[in-house]
Amino acid sequence: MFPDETITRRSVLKTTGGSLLAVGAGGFASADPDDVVRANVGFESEAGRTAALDAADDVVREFAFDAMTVRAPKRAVSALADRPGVRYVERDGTARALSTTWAYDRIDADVTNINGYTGDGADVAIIDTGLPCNNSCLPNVGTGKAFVSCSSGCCASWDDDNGHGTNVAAAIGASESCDCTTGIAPDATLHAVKVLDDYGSGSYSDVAAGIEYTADQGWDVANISLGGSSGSQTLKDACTYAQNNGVLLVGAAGGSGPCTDCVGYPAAYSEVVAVSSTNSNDELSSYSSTGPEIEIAAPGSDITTVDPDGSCITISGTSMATAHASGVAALLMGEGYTNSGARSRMKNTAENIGLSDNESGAGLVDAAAAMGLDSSDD
Amino acid sequence: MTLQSSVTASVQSDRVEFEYTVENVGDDPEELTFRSALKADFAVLEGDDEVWRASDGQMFAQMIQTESLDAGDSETFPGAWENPEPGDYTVVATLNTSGDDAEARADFSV
Repeated sequence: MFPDETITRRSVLKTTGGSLLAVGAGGFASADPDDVVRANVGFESEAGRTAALDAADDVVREFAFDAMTVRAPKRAVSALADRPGVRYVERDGTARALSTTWAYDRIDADVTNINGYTGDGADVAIIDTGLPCNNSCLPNVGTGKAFVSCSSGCCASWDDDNGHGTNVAAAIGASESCDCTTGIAPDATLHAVKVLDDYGSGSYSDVAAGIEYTADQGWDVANISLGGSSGSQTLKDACTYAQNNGVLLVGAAGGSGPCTDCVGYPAAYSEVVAVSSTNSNDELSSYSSTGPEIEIAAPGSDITTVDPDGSCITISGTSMATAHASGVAALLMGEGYTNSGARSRMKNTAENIGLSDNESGAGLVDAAAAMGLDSSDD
Repeated sequence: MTLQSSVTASVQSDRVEFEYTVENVGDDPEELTFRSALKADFAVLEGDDEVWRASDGQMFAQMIQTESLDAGDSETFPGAWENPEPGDYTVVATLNTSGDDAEARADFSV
């Protein structure tokens, strides 16, 4: 377990600043340190060339322009980036462009992903309308539990008969092979906690039961992209119970904007990270609720994501903003942060985008900065 | 104002069923931007006091949903108030959109 505000310092790969690529059969991101990976290494001196040769299990090819392709353990490749004379290290393989959204790039999930932070080991509860059983964008769906009935044609009791759960889950954890988007934490395990029906509505008590269930499973993050305009003691108690059991609760501020002091529940509870929504111009989304409870802002407008039938869809809402914040929470808790540690870290590393406290809290969530990486390419 | 609305209340033995209809009476399509999965809400008033609201005790997916209502088209939203006490009431139906809430009212007795 890591103390608050600290993180293991992984070797950081120098990148060439080109477009982010995914490797067909598992990139660095998903590789264990001992896995052998293919990498392209550029060098500027004999020392750099020698370092690459020393690290390599074998050399695939050597270029005329001071670069070579090697096969080497991931650990050795990662360390290579810091050796004198090495200009760059990049992954090789059957590469294709990742499908990413403006939001993914804006919060620098490209930086976290290429450095190997993918939410592996984190369990995220999608407290929502359910999740699809067999969606190629979401191969990382774990278990599920339904507190309301799935209406028809359901592959499981927790199948998504509305679409909303799938939409938010993909923003958190869609795999790198997805054609619509890539999740902020593509290797996180996503669990369906179905508390909303096919109309996207559910009772306070069912939502409270879903939060309690999440805590009892020992999961890390609860994404709560739902809300109501008034509170409930049962709901509040469920949030307290989950927080005390180590769950980081992340909730949607609501879509009542423009308005002041209008954050919905359960986001308004102190146990929940209340997330407001921004657009691609770093402005507060017109619909976003605001108020003193807002803890962080995240992209929520015009987000391309996945529908249960596998098609791509572009949607808006504090639901999607919440998903992006949950994705960063999953990256942190996948690295061993506690719920309170991850919460502090997200706030302390948020980017100031010039909005008021009631609009954006600590600022715009920043995946790279949260993981201790350079995010200066904003 | 291109949205015209109406609401009816049908009193049953153990419930009152509401039907709220919103029609685009203009010449152009009207875009409806719903604030959440809650598209329409019903409140029941006894005099000036609100005694029931459909959305009370419910939570909703926080997704902005946009629908286009073509000129001449209408959309109907159902609602039901279970186990009402006898009395004289008014139902107030509204859209949960960022634009015109298309409020409609109807009086009924249980």
